[in-house]
Amino acid sequence: MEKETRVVQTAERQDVSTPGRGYRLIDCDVHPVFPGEWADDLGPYMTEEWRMRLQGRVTAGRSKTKRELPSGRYMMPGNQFFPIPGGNLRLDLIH
Amino acid sequence: MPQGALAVGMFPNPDVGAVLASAHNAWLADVWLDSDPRWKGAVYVAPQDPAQAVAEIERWGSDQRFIAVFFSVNRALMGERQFYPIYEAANHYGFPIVVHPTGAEGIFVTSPQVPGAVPAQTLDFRQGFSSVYPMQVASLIANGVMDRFPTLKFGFFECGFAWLPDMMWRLDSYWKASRQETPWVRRPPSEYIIERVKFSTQPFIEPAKREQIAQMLEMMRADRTLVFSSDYPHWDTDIPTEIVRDIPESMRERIFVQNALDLFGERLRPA
Repeated sequence: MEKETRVVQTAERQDVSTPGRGYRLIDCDVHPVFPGEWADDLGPYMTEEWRMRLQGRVTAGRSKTKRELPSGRYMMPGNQFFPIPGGNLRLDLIH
Repeated sequence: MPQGALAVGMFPNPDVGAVLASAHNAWLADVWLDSDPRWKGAVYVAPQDPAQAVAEIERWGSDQRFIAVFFSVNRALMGERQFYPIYEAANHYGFPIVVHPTGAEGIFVTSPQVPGAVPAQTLDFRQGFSSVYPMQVASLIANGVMDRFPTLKFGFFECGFAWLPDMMWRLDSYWKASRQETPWVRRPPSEYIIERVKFSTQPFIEPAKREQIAQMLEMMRADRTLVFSSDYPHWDTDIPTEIVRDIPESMRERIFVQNALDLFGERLRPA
């Protein structure tokens, strides 16, 4: 049976005037984002053996034909089954 | 908090988890913590091999850029004795233990387990955060971790907090009835929570009647238990200028500043 779909407008927050600035705050949950693939960004911080295993690349061929080829690699356990429709990051807030 | 790598505690191979956690700590120190002294980090550990987790804590324990131990929760409950070496090492360096949803709750056999079965949609998946983490708090208390490590503190971030009043009432009630079984829990559970466990504001509550926010904050003793968090730059980021008006004036300094200082201690204070 086909499911009915429709766009739902969530309630708007009221009273959104900017309060007085100047208060202090400590933000206890900020996520540093990997600029690239996590395995590539973390690669320089592990041994060559682990880098090969986690990045999933092997060097094949000899001399002039030598090149890197993809191989089996680990995936980071995550919520692959539950993607956020608009994406996981507030790209409009990143600068 | 690690981004895109929150779930190293779930790797069946403990060496993979330990290598990734260790690499993440070095990357965080190199790329982020050196870039601005306002950034502080948590030492990331994969708890499935406590010995390697302890070694990682010792590696960074004297580095003042790190202010906590991030515990990647897995299938086990945090009160289990296998984790005591991690708590001992964290306590030695004055680190609190902080927890954050892994993004893999209920999905894998090694994940923190969601009651019932595996969620089907994003909606019920995210509700799992509010069922998994109260159990972790209860496990720490019931198994005597709070008295075994009497100065160790805990932070549960992005795990919700509106469930806290009910949990404190429930635990206090059962504590009275079950003291013969758990004599090591020497005080009402709510006292341990109020003194040594912090929860974070994001995602902030949005009841239809906004005056109920203040009532909730009062019931959960937010003046002692709540710290501000934005979860930046995730899709459900809370903007501080939007939630500050929902927090009573009398609690703002505690929630935005003092409770975090209570949790993280001297390492968080400006030099």
